[in-house]
Amino acid sequence: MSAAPHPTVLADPGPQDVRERAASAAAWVDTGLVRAARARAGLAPVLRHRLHGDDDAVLCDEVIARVRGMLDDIATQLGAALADVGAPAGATPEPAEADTLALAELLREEPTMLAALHAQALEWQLATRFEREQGIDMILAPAVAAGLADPALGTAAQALLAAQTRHVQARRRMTWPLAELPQDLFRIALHALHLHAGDHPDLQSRAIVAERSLRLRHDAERARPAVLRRYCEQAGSTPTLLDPAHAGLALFLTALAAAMGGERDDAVLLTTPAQLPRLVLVLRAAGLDGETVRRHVQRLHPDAVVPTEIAAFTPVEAAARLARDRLGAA
Amino acid sequence: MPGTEPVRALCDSADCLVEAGEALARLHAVAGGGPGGTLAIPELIALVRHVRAAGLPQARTITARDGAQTIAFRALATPADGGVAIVATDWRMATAHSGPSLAPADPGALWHHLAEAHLLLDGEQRVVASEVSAPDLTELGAGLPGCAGQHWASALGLPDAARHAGLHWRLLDDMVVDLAGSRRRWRVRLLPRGGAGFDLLLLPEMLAAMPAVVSPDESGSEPPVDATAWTAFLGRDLAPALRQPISRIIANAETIRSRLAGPLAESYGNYAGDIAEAGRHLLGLVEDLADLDAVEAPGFAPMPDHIDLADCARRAAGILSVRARERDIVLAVPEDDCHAPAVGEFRRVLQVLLNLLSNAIRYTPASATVELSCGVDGAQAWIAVQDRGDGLTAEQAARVFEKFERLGRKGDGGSGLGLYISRRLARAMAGDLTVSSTPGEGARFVLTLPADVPAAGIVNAR
Repeated sequence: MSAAPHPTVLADPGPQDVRERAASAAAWVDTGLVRAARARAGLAPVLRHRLHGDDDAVLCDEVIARVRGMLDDIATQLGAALADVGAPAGATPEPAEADTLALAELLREEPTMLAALHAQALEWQLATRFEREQGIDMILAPAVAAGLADPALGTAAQALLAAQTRHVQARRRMTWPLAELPQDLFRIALHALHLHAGDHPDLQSRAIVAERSLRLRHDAERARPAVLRRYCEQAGSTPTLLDPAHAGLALFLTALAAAMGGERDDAVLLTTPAQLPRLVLVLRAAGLDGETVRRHVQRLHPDAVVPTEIAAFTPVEAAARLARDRLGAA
Repeated sequence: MPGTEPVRALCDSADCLVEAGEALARLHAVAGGGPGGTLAIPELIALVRHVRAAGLPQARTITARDGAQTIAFRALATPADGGVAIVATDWRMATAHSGPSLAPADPGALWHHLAEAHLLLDGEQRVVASEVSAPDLTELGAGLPGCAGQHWASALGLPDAARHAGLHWRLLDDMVVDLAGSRRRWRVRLLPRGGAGFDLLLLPEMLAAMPAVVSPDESGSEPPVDATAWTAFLGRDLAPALRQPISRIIANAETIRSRLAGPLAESYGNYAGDIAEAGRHLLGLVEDLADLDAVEAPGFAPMPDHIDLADCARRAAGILSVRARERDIVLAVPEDDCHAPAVGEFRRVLQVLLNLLSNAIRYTPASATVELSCGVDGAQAWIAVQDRGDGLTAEQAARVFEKFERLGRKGDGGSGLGLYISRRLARAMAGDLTVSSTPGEGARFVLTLPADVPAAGIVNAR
């Protein structure tokens, strides 16, 4: 009805019609204003970051493209789960484009989801650089190879290998299977599914069925973060896992998160150039001596120079300094 | 200049080059440095200063100009008594032209995206880990974790696994196999990993199901699959429609990659290279499908004409001369006064020759010769392409003309249809395509056609 070329010639709109049109106009204004406000608020920080210029890798085109790719993949999987409801067994119906677009829009509004995807993109970028420039295998790092030969760690190392192989293949393709999302992201994805269903009775019931089948397939324990965490706990010797060349990036980041008592995604961010001093303090606070800290940091930042005098900070002082600036480290 | 011996040098605390092996001393002098003066090789001095400041050893790849050439080497710089010691290894010629180098597109990336199963192998080709996504390989995939430590060929249950076990990976790469539980055929790709070991990728050789016959219940009777109708659809209707847009994609991607349209970040140049590579892969398949449909159509008949095989040989060699030169291969063609008149369709004969010749170029080691010769024996005219590759065993020679046959040879994404199509074409023109070969001495493919007898008589009379 809004597409009518000459609204004035519409014969006598009934009260129902008028109400509907008023409601849709109000919705249009609502969503438009939310977007306008967001665009205005987002401009300054982005511009500031770009002008700063020294940390472009964090928001470079590749990272943005990867975040977008994974986000779209998650939305497509949710859309496929909706399309799957009521489809004959064995058939794999295409998700409706309207569904996936709307779901992607909803997922973009979730800061936790964005932060997690951003960390994934950064980790992939660093891991490929690590493999290319330093020859440290993304899947089979020396620590994992040693773990395979160790009877006490063999099972955990096998699980890690399998999870890491799946992970590498998925990230290369910019995908993230719903079944392997960490618990919090999985909840966000399901939440988006229900938000999208809104108050359409048909979509609501399909969303409920889709959620059930997604939950059946979801296995957070098999997901990579859990597998990495278990391996680190069993291996126990954190200092060797804090050596990125030995542990490989995947284990290193998990061990780093454990050392700083924070989230793994934050540990990923810690490896970016702008966070260098913080990384140095976190490693020092974990008890590594000054030379070791400098050696490990140089692996991640070959061009950076860490002052030798960093050894003058005792681990306790390093931890205190981080705590004072509310930058983590337990 | 290239050498395996490490070249050593020493800088003092003021970055002066106090000791240097010959190669480094030369680069230092070429860059304008005096004896005992400040190190003049720009990238190397940056490394030396960085290492002194950091107090930690570091290795980097350095490129430097030596007259008209660009030399690259790996430099390890280590702090030593206030100065910095340098060990330079791995000397090689870098790409001559300046500016960002054009890295060749990496087909490995494409295989990774197409693969439906990924096995991680150790240096001995034993299974370390696996990830299977193909629905028809689920059962195989479930058994793989139990096969850790086995050679991949036995882990995948290949019939002649024991024979594969000792073979070099290059001999196993690109073979086509049947796998338990799957009706599809699979191509095995082995990609060496940086450190040690391999990525083994399984790429489907055919579609899982014809789009029109997705059967809702898998347990029921098998739906009849009309493969010929499908090939005909692909070849006759789809291929011509696809050819032009794909060619445009490739051309545009190449324009971007070679930076003809303007400067570009390196990663984007590489992406464009990937696009062009994927496009060429697709175009090759499309061409093969179109040909396959043509030669398999019931009424297929080439249009015979009076042709000269020697002329065809020279033209084919001309078309592929650039590719041959890239690999430093010499194409020996028949002399200008040599003629071999025959009856056949010119376009199709050229197609067969291009196929034979591009195979020969691909499998002949660099700097060798690929020989084209031709002649007339009574009622038969013949043309032969002799390569200097590894050759074929009798058993391989028997299989080489089969559809989708690749003989486990390393290729660039061919469909395994080229020789099959070529032989069909030869036979349709009342000739034949045969191969004779001794392993280790190269293969000789011979295309025979009916001789153009009256024309041959005239030539001989001259």
